[in-house]
Amino acid sequence: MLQIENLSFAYDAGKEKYIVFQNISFTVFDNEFFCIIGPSGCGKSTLLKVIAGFETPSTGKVQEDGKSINGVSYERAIVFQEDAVFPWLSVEENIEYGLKVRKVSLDIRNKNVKECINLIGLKGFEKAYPRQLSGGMRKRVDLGRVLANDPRILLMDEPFGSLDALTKENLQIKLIEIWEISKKTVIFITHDVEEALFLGDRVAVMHHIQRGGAFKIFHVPFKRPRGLFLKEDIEFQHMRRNLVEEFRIVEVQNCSNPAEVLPL
Amino acid sequence: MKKGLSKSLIGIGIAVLIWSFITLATDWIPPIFVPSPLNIARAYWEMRNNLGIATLMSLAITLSGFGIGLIVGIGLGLLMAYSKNFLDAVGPLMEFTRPVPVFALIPLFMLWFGIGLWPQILLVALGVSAILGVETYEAIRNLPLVYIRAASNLGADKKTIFRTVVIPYIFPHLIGAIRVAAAASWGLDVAAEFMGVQVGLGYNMIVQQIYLNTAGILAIVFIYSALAIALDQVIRRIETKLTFWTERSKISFEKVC
Repeated sequence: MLQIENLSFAYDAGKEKYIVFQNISFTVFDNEFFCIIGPSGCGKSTLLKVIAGFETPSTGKVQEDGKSINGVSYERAIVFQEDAVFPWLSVEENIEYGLKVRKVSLDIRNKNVKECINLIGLKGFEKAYPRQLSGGMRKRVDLGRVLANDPRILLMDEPFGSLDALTKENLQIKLIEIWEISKKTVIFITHDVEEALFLGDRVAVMHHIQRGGAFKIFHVPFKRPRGLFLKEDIEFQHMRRNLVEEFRIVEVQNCSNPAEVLPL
Repeated sequence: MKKGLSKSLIGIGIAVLIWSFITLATDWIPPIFVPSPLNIARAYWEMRNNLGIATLMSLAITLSGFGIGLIVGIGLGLLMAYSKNFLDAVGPLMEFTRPVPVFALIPLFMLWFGIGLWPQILLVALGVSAILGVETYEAIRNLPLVYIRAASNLGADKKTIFRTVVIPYIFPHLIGAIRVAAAASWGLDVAAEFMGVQVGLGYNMIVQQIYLNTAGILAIVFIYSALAIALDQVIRRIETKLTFWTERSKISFEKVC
Protein backbone atom coordinates (compact mmCIF):
# COMPACT_ATOMS: atom_id res chain seq x y z
CA MET A 1 0.00 0.00 0.00
CA LEU A 2 1.33 3.39 -0.99
CA GLN A 3 0.15 6.35 1.07
CA ILE A 4 0.63 9.90 -0.06
CA GLU A 5 -0.04 12.33 2.77
CA ASN A 6 -0.37 16.10 2.47
CA LEU A 7 2.27 16.17 -0.21
CA SER A 8 3.38 19.62 -1.45
CA PHE A 9 6.15 20.61 -3.77
CA ALA A 10 7.55 24.10 -4.29
CA TYR A 11 10.77 25.47 -5.68
CA ASP A 12 12.49 28.81 -5.37
CA ALA A 13 12.17 31.03 -8.42
CA GLY A 14 14.28 34.03 -7.52
CA LYS A 15 12.87 35.50 -4.32
CA GLU A 16 9.45 33.93 -4.71
CA LYS A 17 8.40 30.38 -4.09
CA TYR A 18 6.68 28.68 -6.97
CA ILE A 19 4.20 26.08 -5.77
CA VAL A 20 3.79 23.12 -8.13
CA PHE A 21 1.17 21.23 -6.10
CA GLN A 22 -0.12 21.44 -2.57
CA ASN A 23 -1.62 19.13 0.08
CA ILE A 24 -2.30 16.13 -2.10
CA SER A 25 -3.35 12.97 -0.25
CA PHE A 26 -4.35 9.61 -1.66
CA THR A 27 -3.74 5.92 -1.17
CA VAL A 28 -2.86 3.40 -3.85
CA PHE A 29 -3.66 -0.20 -2.89
CA ASP A 30 -1.51 -3.22 -3.63
CA ASN A 31 -1.92 -4.55 -7.17
CA GLU A 32 -4.02 -1.55 -8.10
CA PHE A 33 -3.78 0.20 -11.45
CA PHE A 34 -4.03 3.88 -10.55
CA CYS A 35 -4.16 6.51 -13.29
CA ILE A 36 -3.62 10.25 -12.95
CA ILE A 37 -4.77 12.66 -15.64
CA GLY A 38 -4.43 16.41 -15.69
CA PRO A 39 -3.55 19.33 -17.93
CA SER A 40 0.09 19.90 -18.76
CA GLY A 41 1.86 21.93 -16.11
CA CYS A 42 -0.41 20.72 -13.29
CA GLY A 43 2.55 18.97 -11.66
CA LYS A 44 1.64 15.34 -12.30
CA SER A 45 5.12 14.49 -13.57
CA THR A 46 6.70 16.20 -10.55
CA LEU A 47 4.34 14.24 -8.28
CA LEU A 48 5.62 11.02 -9.84
CA LYS A 49 9.25 12.12 -9.45
CA VAL A 50 8.62 12.79 -5.75
CA ILE A 51 7.09 9.32 -5.36
CA ALA A 52 10.07 7.82 -7.21
CA GLY A 53 12.42 9.63 -4.82
CA PHE A 54 14.13 11.91 -7.35
CA GLU A 55 12.73 15.02 -5.67
CA THR A 56 12.19 15.75 -1.99
CA PRO A 57 8.73 17.09 -1.14
CA SER A 58 8.42 20.48 0.57
CA THR A 59 5.87 19.09 3.01
CA GLY A 60 4.15 15.78 3.58
CA LYS A 61 5.41 12.29 3.05
CA VAL A 62 5.20 9.22 0.86
CA GLN A 63 4.82 5.99 2.80
CA GLU A 64 5.11 2.44 1.63
CA ASP A 65 3.30 0.07 4.03
CA GLY A 66 3.66 2.64 6.81
CA LYS A 67 7.36 3.34 6.21
CA SER A 68 8.54 6.62 4.71
CA ILE A 69 10.40 6.21 1.43
CA ASN A 70 14.05 7.13 1.41
CA GLY A 71 15.56 8.15 -1.92
CA VAL A 72 15.47 6.28 -5.19
CA SER A 73 14.92 2.53 -5.20
CA TYR A 74 14.53 -0.14 -7.86
CA GLU A 75 11.44 -1.23 -5.90
CA ARG A 76 9.70 1.89 -7.22
CA ALA A 77 10.61 1.60 -10.88
CA ILE A 78 9.92 4.47 -13.23
CA VAL A 79 9.26 4.36 -16.97
CA PHE A 80 9.95 7.77 -18.46
CA GLN A 81 8.18 9.51 -21.30
CA GLU A 82 11.52 10.10 -23.01
CA ASP A 83 13.48 7.35 -24.63
CA ALA A 84 15.61 6.14 -21.71
CA VAL A 85 16.88 2.89 -23.24
CA PHE A 86 20.70 2.93 -23.33
CA PRO A 87 21.64 3.07 -27.02
CA TRP A 88 25.10 1.56 -26.41
CA LEU A 89 23.67 -1.68 -25.00
CA SER A 90 21.79 -4.39 -26.89
CA VAL A 91 18.18 -5.28 -26.00
CA GLU A 92 19.40 -8.14 -23.84
CA GLU A 93 22.05 -6.03 -22.09
CA ASN A 94 19.55 -3.26 -21.43
CA ILE A 95 17.14 -5.67 -19.78
CA GLU A 96 19.96 -7.23 -17.79
CA TYR A 97 21.29 -3.83 -16.64
CA GLY A 98 19.38 -3.50 -13.34
CA LEU A 99 20.11 -7.10 -12.32
CA LYS A 100 23.79 -6.70 -13.18
CA VAL A 101 24.38 -3.48 -11.25
CA ARG A 102 22.55 -4.96 -8.26
CA LYS A 103 24.93 -7.96 -8.50
CA VAL A 104 22.18 -10.55 -8.83
CA SER A 105 23.60 -14.04 -9.47
CA LEU A 106 24.12 -15.09 -13.07
CA ASP A 107 21.54 -17.92 -12.96
CA ILE A 108 18.71 -15.67 -11.84
CA ARG A 109 19.89 -12.98 -14.22
CA ASN A 110 19.71 -15.23 -17.26
CA LYS A 111 16.35 -16.63 -16.22
CA ASN A 112 14.80 -13.19 -15.59
CA VAL A 113 16.14 -11.72 -18.81
CA LYS A 114 14.71 -14.60 -20.84
CA GLU A 115 11.33 -14.34 -19.13
CA CYS A 116 11.23 -10.58 -19.61
CA ILE A 117 12.06 -10.78 -23.30
CA ASN A 118 9.25 -13.27 -23.77
CA LEU A 119 6.90 -11.13 -21.71
CA ILE A 120 7.47 -7.99 -23.78
CA GLY A 121 7.36 -10.00 -27.00
CA LEU A 122 10.82 -9.21 -28.33
CA LYS A 123 12.06 -12.75 -28.79
CA GLY A 124 14.57 -12.85 -31.65
CA PHE A 125 15.66 -9.25 -31.00
CA GLU A 126 17.94 -10.01 -28.03
CA LYS A 127 21.11 -8.96 -29.85
CA ALA A 128 19.61 -5.94 -31.63
CA TYR A 129 20.65 -2.40 -30.71
CA PRO A 130 18.09 0.32 -29.90
CA ARG A 131 18.80 2.27 -33.10
CA GLN A 132 17.59 -0.75 -35.06
CA LEU A 133 14.23 -0.79 -33.24
CA SER A 134 11.04 1.23 -33.71
CA GLY A 135 9.80 3.65 -31.04
CA GLY A 136 7.22 1.14 -29.80
CA MET A 137 9.80 -1.63 -29.52
CA ARG A 138 12.16 0.65 -27.59
CA LYS A 139 9.33 1.40 -25.16
CA ARG A 140 8.90 -2.35 -24.67
CA VAL A 141 12.61 -2.67 -23.90
CA ASP A 142 12.21 0.16 -21.39
CA LEU A 143 9.32 -1.68 -19.75
CA GLY A 144 11.18 -4.99 -19.81
CA ARG A 145 14.23 -3.39 -18.24
CA VAL A 146 12.32 -2.26 -15.14
CA LEU A 147 10.28 -5.48 -14.96
CA ALA A 148 13.46 -7.59 -14.88
CA ASN A 149 14.23 -6.00 -11.51
CA ASP A 150 10.83 -7.27 -10.26
CA PRO A 151 9.84 -3.97 -8.61
CA ARG A 152 6.86 -3.70 -6.28
CA ILE A 153 5.58 -0.45 -7.74
CA LEU A 154 5.63 0.64 -11.36
CA LEU A 155 5.59 4.41 -11.94
CA MET A 156 4.79 5.35 -15.52
CA ASP A 157 5.16 8.94 -16.68
CA GLU A 158 3.17 9.27 -19.92
CA PRO A 159 5.10 6.32 -21.30
CA PHE A 160 3.13 6.06 -24.53
CA GLY A 161 2.79 9.82 -25.06
CA SER A 162 5.07 10.01 -28.08
CA LEU A 163 3.78 6.92 -29.91
CA ASP A 164 1.28 6.69 -32.77
CA ALA A 165 -2.31 5.61 -32.01
CA LEU A 166 -1.95 2.04 -33.24
CA THR A 167 1.33 1.31 -31.43
CA LYS A 168 -0.14 2.92 -28.34
CA GLU A 169 -3.17 0.62 -28.38
CA ASN A 170 -0.96 -2.44 -28.85
CA LEU A 171 1.20 -1.42 -25.92
CA GLN A 172 -1.84 -0.73 -23.74
CA ILE A 173 -3.02 -4.29 -24.31
CA LYS A 174 0.49 -5.60 -23.70
CA LEU A 175 0.74 -3.60 -20.47
CA ILE A 176 -2.60 -4.94 -19.17
CA GLU A 177 -1.47 -8.45 -20.06
CA ILE A 178 1.81 -8.01 -18.21
CA TRP A 179 0.09 -6.36 -15.25
CA GLU A 180 -2.40 -9.21 -14.97
CA ILE A 181 0.42 -11.77 -14.88
CA SER A 182 2.78 -9.93 -12.56
CA LYS A 183 0.18 -8.06 -10.45
CA LYS A 184 2.16 -4.99 -9.62
CA THR A 185 0.98 -1.72 -8.17
CA VAL A 186 0.95 0.79 -11.01
CA ILE A 187 0.71 4.57 -10.99
CA PHE A 188 0.18 5.64 -14.58
CA ILE A 189 0.25 9.27 -15.68
CA THR A 190 -1.34 10.30 -18.95
CA HIS A 191 -3.28 13.11 -20.57
CA ASP A 192 -5.27 10.67 -22.65
CA VAL A 193 -8.63 10.21 -20.89
CA GLU A 194 -9.51 7.09 -22.89
CA GLU A 195 -6.19 5.49 -22.01
CA ALA A 196 -6.69 6.19 -18.30
CA LEU A 197 -10.20 4.69 -18.34
CA PHE A 198 -9.16 1.67 -20.35
CA LEU A 199 -6.22 0.82 -18.10
CA GLY A 200 -7.12 2.03 -14.61
CA ASP A 201 -8.98 0.70 -11.61
CA ARG A 202 -9.29 4.30 -10.46
CA VAL A 203 -8.61 7.56 -12.25
CA ALA A 204 -7.55 10.74 -10.49
CA VAL A 205 -8.00 14.13 -12.13
CA MET A 206 -5.35 16.55 -10.96
CA HIS A 207 -6.16 20.24 -11.13
CA HIS A 208 -3.71 23.05 -11.62
CA ILE A 209 -2.57 24.59 -8.33
CA GLN A 210 -3.52 28.11 -9.43
CA ARG A 211 -7.09 26.86 -9.81
CA GLY A 212 -7.32 25.25 -6.41
CA GLY A 213 -5.22 22.18 -7.10
CA ALA A 214 -8.03 19.73 -6.35
CA PHE A 215 -7.34 16.02 -6.71
CA LYS A 216 -10.56 14.13 -7.56
CA ILE A 217 -10.59 10.36 -7.70
CA PHE A 218 -13.07 8.38 -9.82
CA HIS A 219 -13.74 4.67 -9.63
CA VAL A 220 -13.68 2.80 -12.94
CA PRO A 221 -16.44 0.12 -12.84
CA PHE A 222 -15.46 -2.01 -15.86
CA LYS A 223 -14.71 -5.68 -15.26
CA ARG A 224 -11.46 -7.36 -16.20
CA PRO A 225 -10.10 -8.81 -18.38
CA ARG A 226 -10.68 -5.82 -20.61
CA GLY A 227 -10.33 -5.98 -24.36
CA LEU A 228 -10.29 -3.29 -27.01
CA PHE A 229 -14.06 -3.78 -27.53
CA LEU A 230 -14.55 -2.03 -24.20
CA LYS A 231 -13.65 1.26 -25.88
CA GLU A 232 -16.82 0.91 -28.03
CA ASP A 233 -19.04 0.28 -24.98
CA ILE A 234 -21.75 2.91 -24.40
CA GLU A 235 -21.06 3.10 -20.70
CA PHE A 236 -17.35 3.53 -21.38
CA GLN A 237 -18.11 6.33 -23.83
CA HIS A 238 -20.40 7.94 -21.29
CA MET A 239 -17.80 7.84 -18.58
CA ARG A 240 -15.15 9.11 -20.94
CA ARG A 241 -17.38 12.07 -21.76
CA ASN A 242 -17.85 12.81 -18.06
CA LEU A 243 -14.15 12.68 -17.40
CA VAL A 244 -13.43 14.88 -20.40
CA GLU A 245 -15.91 17.38 -18.92
CA GLU A 246 -14.06 17.19 -15.63
CA PHE A 247 -10.79 17.68 -17.50
CA ARG A 248 -12.33 20.58 -19.46
CA ILE A 249 -13.32 22.40 -16.29
CA VAL A 250 -9.67 22.34 -15.41
CA GLU A 251 -8.68 23.51 -18.89
CA VAL A 252 -11.26 26.33 -18.87
CA GLN A 253 -10.09 27.48 -15.49
CA ASN A 254 -6.55 27.51 -16.77
CA CYS A 255 -7.43 29.68 -19.71
CA SER A 256 -7.00 33.40 -19.28
CA ASN A 257 -10.02 33.95 -21.51
CA PRO A 258 -12.57 31.16 -21.00
CA ALA A 259 -14.56 32.25 -24.04
CA GLU A 260 -11.76 30.95 -26.24
CA VAL A 261 -12.74 27.40 -25.40
CA LEU A 262 -15.29 26.17 -27.90
CA PRO A 263 -18.41 24.39 -26.66
CA LEU A 264 -18.36 20.63 -27.02
CA MET B 1 34.44 4.00 -50.16
CA LYS B 2 36.57 2.74 -53.08
CA LYS B 3 35.20 5.54 -55.22
CA GLY B 4 36.14 8.13 -52.59
CA LEU B 5 39.68 6.75 -52.40
CA SER B 6 40.25 6.89 -56.17
CA LYS B 7 38.89 10.46 -56.18
CA SER B 8 41.40 11.55 -53.54
CA LEU B 9 44.22 9.79 -55.43
CA ILE B 10 43.29 11.77 -58.54
CA GLY B 11 43.37 14.96 -56.45
CA ILE B 12 46.83 14.19 -55.08
CA GLY B 13 48.08 13.11 -58.53
CA ILE B 14 47.01 16.39 -60.12
CA ALA B 15 48.72 18.40 -57.36
CA VAL B 16 51.97 16.44 -57.82
CA LEU B 17 51.80 16.93 -61.60
CA ILE B 18 51.38 20.69 -61.29
CA TRP B 19 54.18 20.83 -58.72
CA SER B 20 56.54 18.78 -60.96
CA PHE B 21 55.71 20.87 -63.99
CA ILE B 22 56.37 24.19 -62.26
CA THR B 23 59.60 23.09 -60.57
CA LEU B 24 61.10 20.96 -63.36
CA ALA B 25 59.88 22.50 -66.63
CA THR B 26 59.90 26.17 -65.70
CA ASP B 27 62.17 28.44 -63.70
CA TRP B 28 59.36 30.54 -62.20
CA ILE B 29 60.30 29.67 -58.64
CA PRO B 30 63.92 29.12 -57.48
CA PRO B 31 64.48 25.65 -55.94
CA ILE B 32 65.56 27.27 -52.66
CA PHE B 33 61.90 28.29 -52.12
CA VAL B 34 60.13 25.33 -53.67
CA PRO B 35 62.34 22.34 -54.53
CA SER B 36 61.27 19.82 -57.14
CA PRO B 37 60.20 16.24 -56.37
CA LEU B 38 63.63 15.13 -57.60
CA ASN B 39 65.38 17.41 -55.09
CA ILE B 40 63.31 15.88 -52.34
CA ALA B 41 64.11 12.34 -53.44
CA ARG B 42 67.78 13.30 -53.35
CA ALA B 43 67.34 14.77 -49.87
CA TYR B 44 65.85 11.46 -48.64
CA TRP B 45 68.87 9.65 -50.09
CA GLU B 46 71.30 12.01 -48.38
CA MET B 47 69.59 11.65 -45.01
CA ARG B 48 69.11 7.88 -45.30
CA ASN B 49 71.37 7.10 -42.35
CA ASN B 50 69.54 9.39 -39.94
CA LEU B 51 65.92 9.22 -40.95
CA GLY B 52 65.04 5.75 -39.65
CA ILE B 53 66.11 6.36 -36.08
CA ALA B 54 64.86 9.94 -36.18
CA THR B 55 61.40 8.81 -37.26
CA LEU B 56 61.30 6.17 -34.52
CA MET B 57 62.33 8.71 -31.87
CA SER B 58 59.72 11.25 -32.95
CA LEU B 59 57.09 8.54 -33.11
CA ALA B 60 58.02 7.40 -29.59
CA ILE B 61 57.89 10.95 -28.17
CA THR B 62 54.60 11.81 -29.84
CA LEU B 63 52.80 8.56 -29.11
CA SER B 64 53.86 8.39 -25.46
CA GLY B 65 53.01 12.07 -24.96
CA PHE B 66 49.67 11.61 -26.73
CA GLY B 67 48.89 8.47 -24.71
CA ILE B 68 49.73 10.05 -21.37
CA GLY B 69 47.86 13.23 -22.28
CA LEU B 70 44.81 11.21 -23.36
CA ILE B 71 44.62 9.34 -20.07
CA VAL B 72 45.37 12.36 -17.86
CA GLY B 73 43.02 14.67 -19.81
CA ILE B 74 40.05 12.29 -19.86
CA GLY B 75 40.76 11.37 -16.25
CA LEU B 76 40.72 15.03 -15.18
CA GLY B 77 37.48 15.66 -17.10
CA LEU B 78 35.82 12.65 -15.47
CA LEU B 79 37.01 13.70 -12.00
CA MET B 80 35.71 17.24 -12.49
CA ALA B 81 32.30 15.85 -13.38
CA TYR B 82 32.38 13.21 -10.64
CA SER B 83 33.34 15.37 -7.70
CA LYS B 84 32.08 18.89 -7.08
CA ASN B 85 34.91 19.38 -4.56
CA PHE B 86 37.51 18.49 -7.16
CA LEU B 87 35.89 20.82 -9.68
CA ASP B 88 35.85 23.71 -7.19
CA ALA B 89 39.48 23.10 -6.24
CA VAL B 90 40.99 22.45 -9.66
CA GLY B 91 38.57 24.14 -12.07
CA PRO B 92 39.69 27.77 -11.51
CA LEU B 93 43.34 26.71 -11.58
CA MET B 94 42.80 25.02 -14.93
CA GLU B 95 40.86 28.00 -16.27
CA PHE B 96 43.78 30.19 -15.28
CA THR B 97 46.49 28.06 -16.86
CA ARG B 98 44.66 26.83 -19.96
CA PRO B 99 45.03 29.99 -22.07
CA VAL B 100 48.82 29.91 -21.61
CA PRO B 101 50.23 28.55 -24.90
CA VAL B 102 52.08 25.32 -24.26
CA PHE B 103 54.89 26.52 -26.52
CA ALA B 104 55.53 29.41 -24.15
CA LEU B 105 56.47 26.85 -21.51
CA ILE B 106 59.36 25.42 -23.53
CA PRO B 107 62.07 27.57 -21.88
CA LEU B 108 60.65 26.77 -18.43
CA PHE B 109 60.57 23.07 -19.22
CA MET B 110 64.22 23.20 -20.30
CA LEU B 111 65.05 24.93 -17.03
CA TRP B 112 63.07 22.53 -14.85
CA PHE B 113 63.58 19.19 -16.55
CA GLY B 114 66.74 19.76 -18.54
CA ILE B 115 67.33 18.49 -22.04
CA GLY B 116 66.11 14.98 -22.59
CA LEU B 117 63.22 12.86 -23.74
CA TRP B 118 60.98 13.33 -20.71
CA PRO B 119 60.47 17.09 -20.91
CA GLN B 120 59.49 16.62 -24.56
CA ILE B 121 57.03 13.84 -23.78
CA LEU B 122 55.62 15.96 -20.94
CA LEU B 123 55.15 18.92 -23.25
CA VAL B 124 53.13 16.84 -25.72
CA ALA B 125 51.15 15.28 -22.85
CA LEU B 126 50.37 18.70 -21.39
CA GLY B 127 49.04 20.04 -24.68
CA VAL B 128 46.91 16.94 -25.30
CA SER B 129 45.48 16.79 -21.78
CA ALA B 130 44.54 20.49 -21.87
CA ILE B 131 42.37 19.82 -24.92
CA LEU B 132 40.82 16.61 -23.61
CA GLY B 133 40.17 17.74 -20.04
CA VAL B 134 37.82 20.48 -21.20
CA GLU B 135 36.22 18.39 -23.93
CA THR B 136 35.53 15.46 -21.60
CA TYR B 137 33.91 17.69 -19.01
CA GLU B 138 31.74 19.37 -21.64
CA ALA B 139 30.74 16.02 -23.17
CA ILE B 140 29.56 14.82 -19.76
CA ARG B 141 27.52 17.98 -19.28
CA ASN B 142 25.62 17.08 -22.47
CA LEU B 143 24.63 13.67 -21.10
CA PRO B 144 20.79 13.53 -20.97
CA LEU B 145 19.60 13.50 -17.34
CA VAL B 146 17.13 10.73 -18.15
CA TYR B 147 19.98 8.21 -18.61
CA ILE B 148 21.42 9.01 -15.19
CA ARG B 149 17.99 8.87 -13.57
CA ALA B 150 17.13 5.59 -15.28
CA ALA B 151 20.42 4.01 -14.20
CA SER B 152 20.06 5.21 -10.63
CA ASN B 153 16.43 4.01 -10.52
CA LEU B 154 17.53 0.57 -11.74
CA GLY B 155 19.88 0.29 -8.77
CA ALA B 156 23.22 1.70 -9.95
CA ASP B 157 25.34 3.80 -7.57
CA LYS B 158 27.39 6.83 -8.65
CA LYS B 159 30.54 4.88 -9.47
CA THR B 160 28.60 2.33 -11.50
CA ILE B 161 26.79 5.09 -13.37
CA PHE B 162 30.15 6.57 -14.37
CA ARG B 163 31.45 3.22 -15.52
CA THR B 164 28.34 2.00 -17.34
CA VAL B 165 26.64 5.19 -18.55
CA VAL B 166 28.97 8.21 -18.60
CA ILE B 167 32.00 6.59 -20.22
CA PRO B 168 30.18 4.76 -23.03
CA TYR B 169 28.03 7.84 -23.70
CA ILE B 170 30.87 10.38 -23.98
CA PHE B 171 33.18 8.34 -26.19
CA PRO B 172 31.58 9.19 -29.56
CA HIS B 173 31.40 12.83 -28.46
CA LEU B 174 35.13 12.83 -27.71
CA ILE B 175 36.31 11.44 -31.02
CA GLY B 176 36.53 14.88 -32.62
CA ALA B 177 38.63 16.20 -29.74
CA ILE B 178 40.86 13.11 -29.76
CA ARG B 179 41.58 13.60 -33.46
CA VAL B 180 42.32 17.29 -32.94
CA ALA B 181 44.63 16.41 -30.05
CA ALA B 182 46.39 13.74 -32.12
CA ALA B 183 47.06 16.24 -34.89
CA ALA B 184 48.22 18.83 -32.35
CA SER B 185 50.58 16.35 -30.72
CA TRP B 186 52.73 16.24 -33.91
CA GLY B 187 53.08 20.00 -33.81
CA LEU B 188 53.92 19.81 -30.13
CA ASP B 189 56.55 17.19 -30.92
CA VAL B 190 58.22 19.45 -33.49
CA ALA B 191 58.26 22.32 -31.00
CA ALA B 192 59.51 20.03 -28.26
CA GLU B 193 62.37 18.80 -30.41
CA PHE B 194 63.43 22.37 -31.02
CA MET B 195 64.20 22.28 -27.28
CA GLY B 196 67.32 20.44 -28.19
CA VAL B 197 67.48 16.69 -27.97
CA GLN B 198 69.77 15.64 -30.79
CA VAL B 199 67.49 12.92 -32.10
CA GLY B 200 64.20 12.92 -33.88
CA LEU B 201 62.70 14.49 -36.99
CA GLY B 202 62.27 17.97 -35.52
CA TYR B 203 65.96 18.13 -34.68
CA ASN B 204 66.88 17.01 -38.21
CA MET B 205 64.64 19.75 -39.54
CA ILE B 206 66.71 22.33 -37.67
CA VAL B 207 69.89 20.84 -39.11
CA GLN B 208 68.48 21.12 -42.64
CA GLN B 209 67.41 24.68 -41.90
CA ILE B 210 70.95 25.59 -40.85
CA TYR B 211 72.25 24.36 -44.22
CA LEU B 212 69.40 26.18 -45.98
CA ASN B 213 68.36 22.83 -47.46
CA THR B 214 64.70 23.46 -48.30
CA ALA B 215 64.36 20.04 -49.91
CA GLY B 216 65.50 18.40 -46.67
CA ILE B 217 62.98 20.37 -44.62
CA LEU B 218 60.13 19.49 -46.98
CA ALA B 219 61.22 15.85 -47.01
CA ILE B 220 60.80 15.74 -43.23
CA VAL B 221 57.49 17.62 -43.41
CA PHE B 222 56.19 14.84 -45.66
CA ILE B 223 57.22 12.21 -43.13
CA TYR B 224 55.32 14.10 -40.42
CA SER B 225 52.25 14.26 -42.69
CA ALA B 226 52.39 10.55 -43.36
CA LEU B 227 52.73 9.75 -39.64
CA ALA B 228 49.86 12.10 -38.75
CA ILE B 229 47.60 10.57 -41.38
CA ALA B 230 48.47 7.07 -40.18
CA LEU B 231 47.65 7.93 -36.55
CA ASP B 232 44.38 9.54 -37.62
CA GLN B 233 43.45 6.41 -39.55
CA VAL B 234 44.15 4.24 -36.51
CA ILE B 235 41.88 6.46 -34.39
CA ARG B 236 39.11 6.29 -36.99
CA ARG B 237 39.36 2.50 -37.11
CA ILE B 238 38.96 2.35 -33.34
CA GLU B 239 36.11 4.84 -33.56
CA THR B 240 34.02 2.75 -35.95
CA LYS B 241 34.50 -0.25 -33.67
CA LEU B 242 33.43 1.61 -30.52
CA THR B 243 30.65 3.82 -31.84
CA PHE B 244 28.71 1.30 -33.91
CA TRP B 245 25.66 1.95 -31.70
CA THR B 246 25.23 5.58 -32.73
CA GLU B 247 23.27 6.81 -35.73
CA ARG B 248 25.94 9.32 -36.67
CA SER B 249 28.46 6.90 -38.15
CA LYS B 250 26.21 6.55 -41.18
CA ILE B 251 25.39 10.17 -41.86
CA SER B 252 26.05 11.30 -45.40
CA PHE B 253 24.63 14.61 -46.47
CA GLU B 254 24.33 13.51 -50.04
CA LYS B 255 21.80 10.96 -48.88
CA VAL B 256 20.07 13.17 -46.31
CA CYS B 257 19.56 16.33 -48.35
